[in-house]
Amino acid sequence: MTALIITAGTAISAMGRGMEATRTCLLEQRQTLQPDTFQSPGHGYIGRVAGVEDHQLPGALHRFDCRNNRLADMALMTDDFMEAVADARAHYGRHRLAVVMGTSTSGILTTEKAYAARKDRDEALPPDFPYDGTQDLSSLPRYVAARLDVTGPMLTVSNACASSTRAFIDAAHLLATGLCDAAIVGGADSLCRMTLQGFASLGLVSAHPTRPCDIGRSGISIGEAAGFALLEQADGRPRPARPAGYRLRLLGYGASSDGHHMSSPDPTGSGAALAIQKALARASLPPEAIGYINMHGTGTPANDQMEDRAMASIFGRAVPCSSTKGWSGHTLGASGILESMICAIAIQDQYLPHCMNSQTVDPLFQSDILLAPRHGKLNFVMNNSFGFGGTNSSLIFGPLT
Amino acid sequence: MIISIAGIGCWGDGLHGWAEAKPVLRGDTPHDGTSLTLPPPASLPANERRRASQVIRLAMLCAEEACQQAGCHAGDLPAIFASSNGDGFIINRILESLASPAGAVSPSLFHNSVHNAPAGYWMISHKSHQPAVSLGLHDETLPAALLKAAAEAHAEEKPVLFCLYDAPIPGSLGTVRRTRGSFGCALILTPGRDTSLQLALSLKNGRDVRDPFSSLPESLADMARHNPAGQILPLLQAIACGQDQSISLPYGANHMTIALTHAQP
Repeated sequence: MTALIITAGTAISAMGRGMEATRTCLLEQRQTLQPDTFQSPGHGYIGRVAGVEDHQLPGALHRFDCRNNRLADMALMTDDFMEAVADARAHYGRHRLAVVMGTSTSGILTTEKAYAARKDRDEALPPDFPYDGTQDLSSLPRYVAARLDVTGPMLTVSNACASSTRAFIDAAHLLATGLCDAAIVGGADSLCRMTLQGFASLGLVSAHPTRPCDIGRSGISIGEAAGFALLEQADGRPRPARPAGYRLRLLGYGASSDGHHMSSPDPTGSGAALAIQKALARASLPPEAIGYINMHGTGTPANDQMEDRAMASIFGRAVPCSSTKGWSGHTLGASGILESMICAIAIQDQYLPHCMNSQTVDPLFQSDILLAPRHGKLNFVMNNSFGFGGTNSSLIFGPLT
Repeated sequence: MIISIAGIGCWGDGLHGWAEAKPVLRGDTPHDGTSLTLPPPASLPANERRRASQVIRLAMLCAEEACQQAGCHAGDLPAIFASSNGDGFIINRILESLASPAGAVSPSLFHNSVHNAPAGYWMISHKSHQPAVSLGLHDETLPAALLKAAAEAHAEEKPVLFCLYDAPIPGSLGTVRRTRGSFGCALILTPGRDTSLQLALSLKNGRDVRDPFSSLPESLADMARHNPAGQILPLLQAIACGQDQSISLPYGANHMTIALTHAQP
C-alpha cells in the first residue's frame, strides 16, 4: 500500500495524560489499576483517568458534555495535537480533513444517569435531554470536528473492542480514494455501568488487577482512554517542522471476522491469524521483520490463548509480544488508538514493554511473551485488536524518520 | 466516485422483500405500514434463530435478499453495516436493568448490545472470515456509510455488502430519539460501471435545500423523514420506476449527492 504517515498523536488513559506521562508510566513500571469505586458495589479493578469529572468543555460545545467527550477533549488538548491539526488544516483546507472515530459506548453514562433519575419505568426523559450530543454514536466525531474546526467526511466505527483499530482502516480507505487529504483517527471509551456490569455478567471481570498471558489470569480490568492520530499521505505536504515526537508510518493493515461466536473468540485463532497475515501482506513484510507485537491480550483465558495460537502460527517464538492492559486496563473501543501510541513509544525508545502484573506465562503458550521489559532494536511493530462479534483488526507501524 | 448495484434487499414495515416493495414504491400498490413480526433469517443457526432480535432479523433479511439477487456467495463479501440507533430494544432493556435496584445486566443482552452484533451474526451465519465494519452517524448514517462503502469497494477493488437498517427505540429513550417504523435495505456494490444501475457519489460543501423525499407516497415519505435508513427510499423508488434520479442528503457541513443512472455496464 501507499505508505501513510502519522504526523501527530496523543493518548490519555490511567497510565497518564499524554505521551510523555504514558512513556514514564511504562519506563518506571508504575501500577495504575485501582479497585472499582466507580460504582457500588464495584467489580474488580479499573483503569480510571483522574480529573475527568472536573474537566469542562468549551461553553459553545456544551451540548456535547458527557464523560466520553470530556475524556476526548482532555486528549485533544495534550501533546500539541490541536496545533498540529491547525497546521494541517492551514495546508489542506478544513474540508479536506476527515474525522474517523471508534467508540463502543459513546456517552451512554449520561443516559444511565437519566434513567436512574426517573420516578417510574418508561417515564419520558426531559425533552431537552441531549441524546445526540452524548449517547449517540455521532457525538464523538461531531465534537472532535467542531473542536478542531474541520469539515471533511465524518464517521463513527463501532466494532466493539476493535473500534479504534478498525478506524485506521476506514480512514485509509477514505484517503486512498481521495475523499480527504488527512484524517483525524482515534476514539474514546469511558467508564460506564453498562460495560462494568455487562462484562461482569459474562464472568469476564477479574477480581484482581488483570494479568494477561499469566497461567492464573482470570479476566479483564476495564479501563477508559481516548487518543487521536493525524493520518495523512506521505507526500501530502512538506513534513511539518515540529519536534520529532511520536510520529509513525502506517505500513499495513488487515481485518477479518471469526464467523464463530458473538462473545467467545474462535479458539483456533484462525480469524485473528488472517487479520495478521493480511497486514503483513499489505506491508510487504515477512513475519520476522516484526520486532514487537502489542497484543489485544485482554487477560481472559479464552482471548489470550486464542491470540497466542494465532501469533505462534505465524511468528513461532521469533517475535516478542506483550499486552499493556495490565497498565491501562482494557479500554475497549479505545484500546486500538491507545496501544498504537504505545507502539510509537516502543519504536522511539527502542523499548519493549512487558505484561504488567503477570508472573508466570501460561505453559501452553508458544509465543515469546514478555514478563520483563526488554531493550532491543525495533523497526516494525504490530498492534492487534479483537472484539465481540468476532471482529479482528491488525495494524503494522514503522518509524517515521 | 462511481459504484454499481448488483443486488438489492429491502425489508420493513409494509415492505416485505424487494419484489413486493417495488409496486409499493411505484405507487401501484398502497403501502400498509403495519409492523409485522419479521421471520427469522434462514441462514442463522437454529439455536440463534429463536433468540435473534427484530433488528438482527431486519438486517440479515435485507443482506440475504441482496446476496441472492446478485447471485453471489455471502461469505465472499466484505461488509459495511450501518445503523443510527443500533438495537434500541436491547439498549433500553439494559438501561432499565441498570436503573433497577439489583443493577445486574443479562449476559446475552449485553453481548448482543454491541453495535456490530448484526454484522457478527451475519458472519457467523456464513462462517465468513471477511472483514465487517459497523457504522453509525445519527441522521447522517446513510451518506456517511454509503460513501465509506464505496471507498472500500474502490480501495480494495472488491464488491462489498452494504447493509443499512434502523428501528424505533422503545421506552424512555424512545421519547427523546423518535424513529418511525422499521426499515432496512442492503445493496451489493461493485466498484466502477459493472451493472446497469450506476451511482455517482459526490460530496459538496454547504446544504442542498431541495426536499429529497417529496416524490414518495405519503407514508413512505414519513418513514424517509423519521427513520435514518429510510433516507434511501427515493433511490429505491427511482430504481423501481426505472428512472434516473439524483438526491442530495445533508452530511455535516456538506451534502452528499447520489446520482442514479441506468446505463450500459
